[in-house]
This record gives sequence, structure tokens and C-alpha cells, in this order.
Amino acid sequence: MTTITLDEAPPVQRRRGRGLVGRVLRMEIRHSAFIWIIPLLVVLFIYDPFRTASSYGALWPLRATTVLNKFLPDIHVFAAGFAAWAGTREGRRNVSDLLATTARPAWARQLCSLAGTAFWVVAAFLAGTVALYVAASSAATWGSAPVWPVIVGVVSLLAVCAVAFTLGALFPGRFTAPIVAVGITIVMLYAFRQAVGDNGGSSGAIGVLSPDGVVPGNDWGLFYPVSVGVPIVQAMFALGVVAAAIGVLGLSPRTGGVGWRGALSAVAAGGARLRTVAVSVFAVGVALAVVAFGLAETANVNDPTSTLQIPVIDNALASSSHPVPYTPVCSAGSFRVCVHPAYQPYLSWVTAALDPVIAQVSGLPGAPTSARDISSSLLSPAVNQGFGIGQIAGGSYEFSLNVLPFSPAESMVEVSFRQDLVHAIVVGTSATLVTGSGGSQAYQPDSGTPAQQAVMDGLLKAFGVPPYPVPQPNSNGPAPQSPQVEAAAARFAALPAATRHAWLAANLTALKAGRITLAQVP
Amino acid sequence: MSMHPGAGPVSAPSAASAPAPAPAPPARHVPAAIRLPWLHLRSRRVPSALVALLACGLALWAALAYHWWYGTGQRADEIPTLLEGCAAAIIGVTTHSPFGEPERATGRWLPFLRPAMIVALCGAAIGFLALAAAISFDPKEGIGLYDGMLPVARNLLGFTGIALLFSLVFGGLLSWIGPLAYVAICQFAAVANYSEPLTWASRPPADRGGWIAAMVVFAVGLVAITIRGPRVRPSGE
Repeated sequence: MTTITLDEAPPVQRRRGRGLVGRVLRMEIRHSAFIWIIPLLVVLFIYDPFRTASSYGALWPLRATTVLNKFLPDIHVFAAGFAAWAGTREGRRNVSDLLATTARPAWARQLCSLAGTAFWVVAAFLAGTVALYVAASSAATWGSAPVWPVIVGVVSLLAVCAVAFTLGALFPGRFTAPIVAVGITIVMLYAFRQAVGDNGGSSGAIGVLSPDGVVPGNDWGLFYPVSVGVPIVQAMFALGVVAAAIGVLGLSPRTGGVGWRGALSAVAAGGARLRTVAVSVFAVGVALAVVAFGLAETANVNDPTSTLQIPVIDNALASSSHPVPYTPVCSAGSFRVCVHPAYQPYLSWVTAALDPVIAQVSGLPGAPTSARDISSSLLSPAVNQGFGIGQIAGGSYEFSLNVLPFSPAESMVEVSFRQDLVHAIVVGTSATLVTGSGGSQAYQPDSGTPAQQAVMDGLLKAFGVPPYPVPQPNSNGPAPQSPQVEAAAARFAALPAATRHAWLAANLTALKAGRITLAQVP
Repeated sequence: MSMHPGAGPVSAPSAASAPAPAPAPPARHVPAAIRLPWLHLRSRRVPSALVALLACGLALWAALAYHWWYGTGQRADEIPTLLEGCAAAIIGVTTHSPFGEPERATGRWLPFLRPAMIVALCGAAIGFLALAAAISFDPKEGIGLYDGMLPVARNLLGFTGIALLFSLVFGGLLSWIGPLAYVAICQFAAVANYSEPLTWASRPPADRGGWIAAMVVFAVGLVAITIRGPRVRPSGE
């Protein structure tokens, strides 16, 4: 008879566990059903985020918004559906009892299954993001690829996968996957609605935590850095959701865990270490989510950058209060037009729009000698409230390209800039502050006196540009011009350029002061 | 050589000592015309499907009553269209049979039971959604479906057709992919002002092309599932 002593037992191979997990993970990745949806995702990606991003201006921050505003909503419904599908697997196939006898805890097995789906989800998201960024890098003239949208997107997708998987594991059934996918999509849509609000503004913590939100203006992230507080809070919340969902997965007896009572009991089955880890992960997740929600409540837009900020984080990092340094790009020629380097593709458009006007008005009192692009937040409130593009200050025409539409056209730039500059020279400010009957103050567009309108429209007609749109009091589009003004504008436009210049040189100051009548316009 | 002990001696109970068999309960006589459809519906989890469809109706009621969505016009159709897709996905998933080939080999009535169940579920889904819209309707507050119930019926039937076609290819349990993906395509079409009859959910309620496209897809899906049934994969799913 031979005896076997314990001393002869082979040493425990520590690496075997990791190898097993790696093998299970590889198997889950190979067998994930998410692969089937990737061709459809490619179609949706080309149709929605890629097409939208390509139509935006060549600005890094603006184009990067499509990662969260377009691509994430496209992918999360399928991420949720397939994660829930993977979560229901053991229950759907009635193998829970069979698998209960395995040496490894159910939690480890389920985490591998979750990781298998999450791998494809994140891989698809990153592949799409790379495609968006490569396209942006070939068009943008300034800046670099923002990292935070990618981080927030990845963590949000992990949160969607974790929640959907846990729901699938808790409630296995054939209807779970579609219901969870639609349910999570409705939650995301609701958060999006909170983010954009009925009037296009963010409201409340839920809106701040929504990765999908308002498309910002062109200036966003160019003159002042984008807040890092908001994406940090969003990522923190999503990470908290991931941890809480994974903790629930480890604790719930329906998924092979020790149960909630077992978690608090020292003698419960399931392994003390496993219990401790599951409870800790759940507690950390809830704490992260609660802290992130609380921080999101403090978000405000009361700063010169006009972007949503989390004061505690942004003030601590001091990241968004200092302007971003840049060297403007300027046009050659006597009338210098300078723009932010990110707007370099539009410099020739702006120069071509302004040059004919400057040639006509140069040397006149109040006419600018240069033009420069500034942050929209530095323009006067009258301009900022949508009544113009720029203002003449210190002999320079200061304008903002923030008002350009997302898909600008040269003809539109030409018309808008000529109308605005001529208005600024002939009338002055684009809007005046008016006190209403109830004491409330609001800016009203200043379209000038009839004589000013006639001269303005006459100059524009000479440049081949439509008349300056005089808004109606009820904001119902431009008001029709009076026949007298139209006739005077036509007369003024028909004058030789030298005659017009000479008349303006003699009368512009009086015209601007409102002392010239319509009859006095030549 | 050792002897195998073998099994222990077993003494058979004598007939005299055996307890008297309990009297069999009187069998309920259920006509086959009722029993067969009921078993078919239960095997497809139709009672659970009805609960899920009712949940879709509840979600529509809550979305309408509490103004969950953003914007007007096509954007306001986002959540109703999503719920129509969800209802179609649920109907598609019910086509899965747990019996697979044996049922196909012996089930003579399957070509009648399959379409009847799908049509009945479509009717139930439209009914639940209509009920939710009716309960929440408040013209003074501007609460109600933007285009009425016509697009709900059209979209649901069209999406169900997609789900049935997907169940032919991927199996019943994964057929939910089809309607949800198609909802996404229709939503992007609506947002991008791209309108073709095949994206019927982005068309006006009385649009003939949209109705024809949706009904053709539904009819093709229904006929195909009636004849072939959902795909049964080697895994049983």
C-alpha cells in the first residue's frame, strides 16, 4: 500500500486561473451575437454620424460632438439588446442548475459573457470614432482630436451593457432583450430631452448627465477650452452605474450570487471574499453615481465661455477660465481680415465678402480699417442675441463666425457679411435696448431711419446683395420695404461709385445721426 | 478473483399488499379545437407577450401624459415609433417554438395557428396602443398622438412583417433585431427629411406609398412564416 503525503501535492498554479478566464473570454468574444449587427451598424454609421459630421464645418470640437450626439444613440439600442440577450442565456437555456456545480463562481462566468458583448460594442464604437476623427483631421486646420467624448462614450456604452446584461440575467426570458433595449433607449431619449430642454437649454442633473445633448455653436472649444467637469461627471456617473450593476449581478441569488441577506451574513454560503467584493463593488458604484448626480446638480453656464461647467471641478482644474492661445490667420492686402486658425478655410470667403464694401466705404468716417474674428462671448449683447454678426469697435470690424450654419456656403457668407457691415457703417448698432410696458428690457432690431434704409439698400444693391432684412415687430420674418425707400435705394444704387462715395463722405455723419431725410438721398 | 457483489436481493411486493390505486380524477373534456390553439399559444408564451404588449401601451400612455419626448412634428413620433417597434419585436419573438422539428413533422394545424396568432397579437397591440392614446388624449393640453392612430397601425404591421422575415433568417428569438433596426432607419430618414415608401414610418399618415410598402412587407412576412415557420438553429434557438 502506498501512501500519498500532502507534501508531494503539486504546487498550485496561479497562472492557470488567468488562463482559464482568458479562454472563456476568447470563447465569449468569438460567439457573441453582436457581430451580426455590425453590418447594419456600418450602414447606420455612414448614414447618420459620418454624413452629419462631414457636413459640419472643419472644426474639431464641433465634429467631435457627433461621437456622442449621433453615434452613441445609434449604437446603444443594439448594445442594450445584445447585452440583455447574453444575460438571459443561462436562464433561457435552463442550464442554471447544471452550471451551479462548476468550480468557478457564477459571477466570473457572467462577467466573461458580459465582457464578450462589451468587447464588440466598444470595438465598434472605437472603430466608428476613429473613422470620424480621421475624416476630421483631414479637414481641420487647427486643434486636435478631443479625448473626452471617446471616454464618455466608452463608459456610457459599458454602463448600458452592464445594466442590460444584469436585467437579462435577473429576468431571463424570450422578451427580455427587446424590452430592455427599448426601455434603455426611452431612458436615454428622456435624458436627451432634459439635456436640450424645450427651449434648447440644459436643465437639471439628468440633462447634464446625458451624453447626448445640444449641438454647440462653432466657437465652442476654440477661444476657451471646453469644460472637463461635465465629461468627468458623466463618466463618473456611468462608471458608478457599471459598478452597481456588476455588484447586483454578484449579489443576486437569481444569478448565482449569495443574495442580499447572505451579503450581510458572516456565515452565508458563497465565499466571504466573493461576498465582500460584490458588496464593495455595489457600494462604490452607488456612491460614485450619487456623487456624480450631486455634482451635476451644481452645473451652471454663468461664465464668460458660455459653456456648461461643474464649478467644483472646473475651478479646481482652472481649465476653462483662461483663453486658448492661438495665432490668428490674416489675409494679405490693405484691408486686413484676421480669423481664428480653425476658421482658416473660411478666410477667403470672408475677405471676398468684405472687400467690395470696404472699397466703397474706405476713408469714410466710422469705416473700419481692419476686420478680426473674436469669440462670440466678447461681442455686445445686442449682437449676441442674434441681431447681427459683428460690430465696429476701435476702427476694426469685429465679427464672430459662431453664427455660421453647420453647413456654410460661400454665397450665404457673402450676403450675411455685406449686409451686416453696411448696416454697421450706416446705422451703427444692430439692436437697441427697449423697456417694455411691464418694465422688462429686451433688445429690438434697429433697422434705421427710412433714409438710412434707402442708403443701406442702395449700397447693397450695388454689390448685388438683397436688401437688409427689416424684421417685423412680431418676429414674423422680414417686413416688406416701403415703395419710397425702394425707389430711393434704386436711385442711390444707380449712381456711379465715385458719386456715391463722395455723397457718403459729405453726409454719412449726418445720416448716421438721423438728420438726413429720405428726400435728401440722391 | 473477487466476486462482484452484484445487486442486493429485491422482493417484489405481492399484489395483495400493494395499496389500492387512487381513483383517477374525472378528466375534463376539453375539445381539441380549443385545447390545441391554447397549447400552441402557451408554447409561444402568448400570455407573457400580451403582458409585454400591455406594458408598451402603458409606456405610451406615460410618454404622452408626462410629455417625455422633445420637439414637434417628426421628432414627436420618436417614442411612439419606438414602442411600435418594440411591440412588433415582441410579436416576432413569439414565433419561436420550443419543440422545433418534431412539431413541424406532426403539426398539421401549424399553417393555420401561426398566422392566426400573429394577426391576433397585432390586433391586441394596436388595441393596447389605441387605448393608451385614448386615455391620455387631452386636446386642451395638446396631449395626443401627433398623427393619430393610422400611422401606429401601419407602422406596427410593417415592423411586424420585418420581424417575421427576420425570424425566417435568424430564428424567432433573435427576430427582434429587425424591427428595432428598422425603427432606427426610419427615424434617421425622418430627421434627414428622406422619405421613401420603404421608410413608411417617416411618411404622412394617409400616404398611399407608405401603406402599400408596409402592407406588402407584412403580407410577405405572414405568408412566409405560415409556410416555412421560423428558423430553428442547431442550438434549439
